[in-house]
Amino acid sequence: MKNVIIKKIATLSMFLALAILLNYVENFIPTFVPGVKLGLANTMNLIILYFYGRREYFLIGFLRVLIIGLLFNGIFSYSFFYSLSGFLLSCLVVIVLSYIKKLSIFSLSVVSAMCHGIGQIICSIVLNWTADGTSIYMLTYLPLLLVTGVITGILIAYLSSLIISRLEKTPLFKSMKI
Amino acid sequence: MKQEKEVSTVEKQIKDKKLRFDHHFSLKWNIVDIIIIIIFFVIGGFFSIYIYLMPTDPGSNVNIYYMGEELISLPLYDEEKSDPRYVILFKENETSEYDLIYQNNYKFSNLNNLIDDLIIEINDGGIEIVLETSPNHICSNQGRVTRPNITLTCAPNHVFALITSEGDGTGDVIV
Repeated sequence: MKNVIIKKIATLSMFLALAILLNYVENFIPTFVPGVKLGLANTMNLIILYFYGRREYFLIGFLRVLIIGLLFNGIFSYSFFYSLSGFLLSCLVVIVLSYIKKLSIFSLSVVSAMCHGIGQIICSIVLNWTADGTSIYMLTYLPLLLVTGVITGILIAYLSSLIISRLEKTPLFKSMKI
Repeated sequence: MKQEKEVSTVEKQIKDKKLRFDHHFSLKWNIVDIIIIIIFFVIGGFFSIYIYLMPTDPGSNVNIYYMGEELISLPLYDEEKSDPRYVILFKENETSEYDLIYQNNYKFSNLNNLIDDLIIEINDGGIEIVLETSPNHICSNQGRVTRPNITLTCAPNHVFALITSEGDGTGDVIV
């Protein structure tokens, strides 16, 4: 029992470290829409959700946002709140949708990517709120985020499914398959 | 004896599904996924075309906001000053550092929440952030905005700009 828990903590820590690394690396990958990222770190989140569960999915995702805030952007900076709001909305929606057993990794990834963008736009509107409500016009980014969310979501889902199918064959995850 | 007890506890938990390797989604496409993805793609595509490509009223003013406060509202086409015009936001005190390159300017100083000085260009019916400091320069990479009601946002610097048209009631104050 103790071994199982230790193995789990060690593996989750490894995924967390990889997620932080991917989050950093993707800053150097150019995209065709300014400000849009691929969301490579989400591959780790989807893998965690698949192998472990909703609680671990939330916890590791939250720790990633927190550590990245501490390391790069500064905790309680605007960037931190953007990341946090995007993460919280996408996490909440994915957790709810994960109860619908008919959905696959592709739907979850696409919805996650879109909700991440929507969360950031909502945060941006709130943080830049003007007396005349002009900041609401930031919603004009939303359709573009839906389109890019679909594209990046499918890519990330495909990548995650490849990794998961390979991980399932490794002794570490085979032994977990009780 | 102790080991046997430990094994039986694990087995019990497995039976109680506490340790069961329970997947929360499948890895294969199905019809529901395809429907969901098509719906979002069509909605996003339709509104993107509507917002970014459909004909619209010409813009008349440029409003620039910092930390949710309107800094300045300028006419998009100024009869008194020739284009290009620049709005220079200084992080600290106002200087003449940019005067030679960026003429016809409007200056604002002591905007402490900027990462560094930021310059917005108003030229030929469009606006663009031409100088800024932000991660990966996402602010200046947005390029030029010419359509009304599409924000030119520089979130890391807490700045956004908006072209408004006369008919929408948001651009009636001219400084």
